[in-house]
Amino acid sequence: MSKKTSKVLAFATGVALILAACGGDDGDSGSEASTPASEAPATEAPAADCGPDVLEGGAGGAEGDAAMKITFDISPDAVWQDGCPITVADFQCSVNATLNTPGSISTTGYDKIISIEAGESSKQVVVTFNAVYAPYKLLFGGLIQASAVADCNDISGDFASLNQVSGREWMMESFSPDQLVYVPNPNYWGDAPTVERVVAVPFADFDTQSAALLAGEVDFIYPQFFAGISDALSDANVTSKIDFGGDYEGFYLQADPARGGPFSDPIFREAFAKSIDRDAVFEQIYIPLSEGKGKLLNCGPIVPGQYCDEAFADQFDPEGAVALLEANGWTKNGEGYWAKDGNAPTIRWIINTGNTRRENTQAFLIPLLQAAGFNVVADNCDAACYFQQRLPALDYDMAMYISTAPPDPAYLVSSFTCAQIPSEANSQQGQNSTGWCNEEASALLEKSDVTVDEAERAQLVKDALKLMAGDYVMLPLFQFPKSGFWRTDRLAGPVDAELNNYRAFNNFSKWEDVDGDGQIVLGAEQWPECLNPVTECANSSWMVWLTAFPILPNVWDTTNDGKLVITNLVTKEPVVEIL
Amino acid sequence: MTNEVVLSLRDFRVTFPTLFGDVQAVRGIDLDVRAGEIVGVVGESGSGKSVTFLGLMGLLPKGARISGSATVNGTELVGAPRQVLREVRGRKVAMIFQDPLSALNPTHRIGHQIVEMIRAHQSMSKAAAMERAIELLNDVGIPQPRERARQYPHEFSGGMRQRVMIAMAIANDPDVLIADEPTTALDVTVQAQILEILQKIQSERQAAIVLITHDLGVVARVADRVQGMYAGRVVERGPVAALYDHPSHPYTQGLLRSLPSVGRDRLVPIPGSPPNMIEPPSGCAFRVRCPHAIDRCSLEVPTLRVVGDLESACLRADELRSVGP
Amino acid sequence: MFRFVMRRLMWALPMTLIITFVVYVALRVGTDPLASYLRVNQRASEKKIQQYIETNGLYEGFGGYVRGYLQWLQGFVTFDWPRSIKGSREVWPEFRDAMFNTLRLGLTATFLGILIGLSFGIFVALKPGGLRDATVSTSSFVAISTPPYVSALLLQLLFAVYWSKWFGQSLLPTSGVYPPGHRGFDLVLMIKHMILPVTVVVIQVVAVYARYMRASLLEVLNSEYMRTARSKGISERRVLVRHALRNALIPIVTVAAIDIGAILGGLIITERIFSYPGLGDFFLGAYDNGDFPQMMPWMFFFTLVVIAFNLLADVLYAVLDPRIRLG
Ligand SMILES: Nc1ncnc2c1ncn2[C@@H]1O[C@H](COP(=O)(O)OP(=O)(O)OP(=O)(O)O)[C@@H](O)[C@H]1O
Ligand SMILES: [Mg+2]
Repeated sequence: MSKKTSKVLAFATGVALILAACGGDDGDSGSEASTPASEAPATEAPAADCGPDVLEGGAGGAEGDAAMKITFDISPDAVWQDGCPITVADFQCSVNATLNTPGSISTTGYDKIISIEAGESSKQVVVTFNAVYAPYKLLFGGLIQASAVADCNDISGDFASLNQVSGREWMMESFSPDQLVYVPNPNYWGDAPTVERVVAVPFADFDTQSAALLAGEVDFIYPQFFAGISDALSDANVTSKIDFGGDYEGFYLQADPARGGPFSDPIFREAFAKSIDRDAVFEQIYIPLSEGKGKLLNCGPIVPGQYCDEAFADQFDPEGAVALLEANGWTKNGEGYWAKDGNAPTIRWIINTGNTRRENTQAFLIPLLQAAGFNVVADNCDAACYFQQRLPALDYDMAMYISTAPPDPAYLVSSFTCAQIPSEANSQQGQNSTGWCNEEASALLEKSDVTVDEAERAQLVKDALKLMAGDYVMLPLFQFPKSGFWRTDRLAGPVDAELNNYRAFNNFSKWEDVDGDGQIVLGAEQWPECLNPVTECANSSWMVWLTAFPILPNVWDTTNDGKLVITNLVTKEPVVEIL
Repeated sequence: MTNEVVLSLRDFRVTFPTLFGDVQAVRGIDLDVRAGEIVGVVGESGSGKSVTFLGLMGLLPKGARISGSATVNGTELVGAPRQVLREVRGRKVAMIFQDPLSALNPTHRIGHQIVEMIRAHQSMSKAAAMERAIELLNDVGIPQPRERARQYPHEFSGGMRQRVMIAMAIANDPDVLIADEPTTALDVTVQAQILEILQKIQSERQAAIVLITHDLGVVARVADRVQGMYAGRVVERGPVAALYDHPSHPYTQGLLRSLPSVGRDRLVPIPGSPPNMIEPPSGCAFRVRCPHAIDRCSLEVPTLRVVGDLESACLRADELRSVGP
Repeated sequence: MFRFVMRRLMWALPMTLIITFVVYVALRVGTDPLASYLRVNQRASEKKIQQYIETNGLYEGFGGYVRGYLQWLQGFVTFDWPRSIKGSREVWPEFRDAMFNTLRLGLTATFLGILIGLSFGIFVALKPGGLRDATVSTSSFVAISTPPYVSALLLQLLFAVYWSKWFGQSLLPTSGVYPPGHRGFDLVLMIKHMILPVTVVVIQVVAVYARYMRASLLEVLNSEYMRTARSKGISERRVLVRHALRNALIPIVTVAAIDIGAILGGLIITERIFSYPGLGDFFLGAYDNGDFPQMMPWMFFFTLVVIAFNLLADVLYAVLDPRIRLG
């Protein structure tokens, strides 16, 4: 996978993530990078000035009647790195920062909040929404400390060189283009980390990070998986874990009727989709790629779990395709292509040039499809053109790319509902790049977004996916393996426990430093360019993995099997009331 | 002329091993140069003139094989240790080269180049050596020598540069001055001036001068004795006047015929070209171009024999003597 | 001489301004700083956008370019640099660190490389045509035609990966300026981390300069003034040092001065492979984002380097070779 690709994925991921990660940072961004923690007085008494427990202006601001209310009980032990308690003010500040900071990456969900107020005390947070919002567990992640920023409504200038806020195990000691250093947060109220320091260092590519791992300069790397990776890293002291995460690849067919492409005709689209032998593609492309570890994906734009019922299986039906076309007035023309009214559509298949896997897929599939009567042509361009121009502009007939499925299915609403097709109405900002509009499915998905009951919600999602499968806009292909490699002479403990997690290797506070050098060194394949957790800085997975998750408190964390569970920030599962 | 012999060569030979075989550039030369005389060494290009004298100075490339004997004031130079050669160079024997631009180091000041020569052999302070250098520049006729000493070679004209070379060469009052085609690169008027300077040096300092040239006219003007060379050997030698009047070797005769002079309307170059020195012709090397060659010429290497006032290495010298140029 | 240098210096200033202005306009036109800003800051408010335009002087039209350039220049020389478009970071501290890292790597490598290269060149020129000559010529040919990333990876494999497999511990580090987590200054560690990247650059520089010196010295050794020098009866050492080396070095010194800029600019690959946080990485990051506030200082720096070293080359040439001193 090219770096660009992964960035794009990361962005898709990021949007959801940021929902989870929005939050605070330290205040004085100009502070010197080297001595972050020095002011933090030891555990007990909060420093004199912790700021107000409740913000004067409140938070939120959505119009309308209250439709949902969530009550959070913050742990009485929960304090920031400076000993100040985590209170409703911090929730308020975080939400305001996400909503109002210029350049904030996404306000989804937060824009439904009418108000955030203190309940019985400043340790109880009452949030009211103007609509039922089912993916609420993605909210209130990555909280920032209200007293650490000058203006909760604009934190775009904060955290430019260091983020000294912490409500978790770690505190950021330094951040620069060549390394990031964490030390334990002395005021953390949960289990203290077992390691004295965690250092992350950047690498340009796989070759350099593998050399560093093999040479013992880093203890752990989390590289993009590829065939042969285990051989490349074979060493007596290196071990690995291959797992499956949320990354999946699929074919997408441009269905938007407004664009008038060949696939805006549902009959033609269905026949085309039925002519694609996904099993053959899997055998040909993905088996060699995955060291035999991958699986053909049948869930749709989602990975196996509670929302998947294999609705996309067995779509390959070449005879059915022929019958369907013939029944609808299509005939093969002189060149052997299906034509209707003398018109044989050309199908433009786009991928990013230089991506070998996708180029191989084209080379394999195009002749087969042509033989089946579809005039498919490769219409490729470089990654920037593909992901930043052609895809958002829906300027393709068939596409192939990787996405990351977050643990909550809320992203399906923004990616596959009618209202999200780029249009005047949404100032061309809509994210439905397949142009698929099925009113019934949209209604189901939108309903899933406001259905809090888990089982009911899952059923809505499954029903919508079933409709999607029947409309043949997307053909899932493959769930990608994830890989972590580490040195057994340096690291021990549950290193392999969370590699499938959306939060990746974020359990490193439980890892053991067995070589006794007092630190764990992580090699980073991508390097966060900046630290601000609500602005454009936060659009990559590596950014949140490295610079947000270890320090910023969340109400909910994801688990290795894709569930969302409460953290020690709250004393009990927040109470959701539908009004 | 009974001055002592300062430079003496006996059976002097130089061979260059090359990929194609040994180049026998010099094949047994005898020569005596006495103090205060000017000896002209003439011959076509490639006849071994330069190689002879560079060889005795030890200035040939490393591969060159030298044998025979070369003595300066009795000091043997062939096979001499480097230290001995260093003392001879510039002190006892000094050289002047054909192209004074490329023979001077372009990045060193003129004065400095002469000072370096002086201080190589005389313990003298830099300042004193510079004063001496300025004097020398003045001696060879360079106006404003003090200013000129601070200049670089490219700021001098060709004639002026050759004067600098001469000033440098006489800096240590050498016993022998070897001038290898000192005037070839210069125009005629400047040539005359340079020759005058050389003559002045000879008369004032009693230095022996070896004047290498292929221009017999130059030799006629200034030399006392002449030595003609062909294919690495001496072909004829003797007093200038005698050689001009009664050359007995066909090669010398040819050289003289090719010389422009009053009363002759046509130059006659020697037909043919110099021999390949890897495998020179047997016997007399000139026989292949010689209009008077006989069978015996290919069998016997002619030695120098007295013919009148000259010594000639031609088997038919006696017969040919009368023919004249 | 003094006047010559002064005149060149007087020239260098307008040259710098003109070139940087051209670079400025090229960046303005070629990368469209405002568009990059909007791409990176998708939801920036009108106020922020306006602020970005003003702090960066992104005015339109030729007059606007001139005004914007002058504004940029003023900010640049007073160290009042606009912040990066991503994360609004201060540019100078990161640029400064990267610059020192690159200069340290580049100058060390250039200096060592040229020194060693010249020695090899001299070594073979004094005995051309032999086994020695063939060995050095062949290996310099191999070195020149080996791309730096190949030699870098080979060195990493040998001294780090395999070394640690064979001996349990790697000999030389493959990444960074210091070991991960290191704090403060430590000369020994710093040098250790520089050895491999410096070697990669040195290999190239040595190869080039060995051949160059060989050719230059051979030419000088075959020149007639060398014979004159020998005929003076001075020591062979003096002949070689004063006459041969000095003259052979003239063309090399000037080329070397110009080369240093090129070598510094060419460190990008080496820096990437050794995860060395220098100007190469700095530029790649800035270029990826279209970060105008980061790219301009980089461009300015290299313009200065090129002009300064060209000036130095001119002056050195004039100092060393009297024939050039045309005034
Ligand atoms: N280094 C060398 N290696 C091989 N052959 C050489 C070398 N130097 C000179 N020769 C050969 O030795 C012969 C004599 O050369 P030399 O320079 O003495 O001629 P010359 O009489 O001085 O001619 P000119 O009038 O052109 O100076 C020539 O055939 C020349 O090719
Ligand atoms: Mg000659």
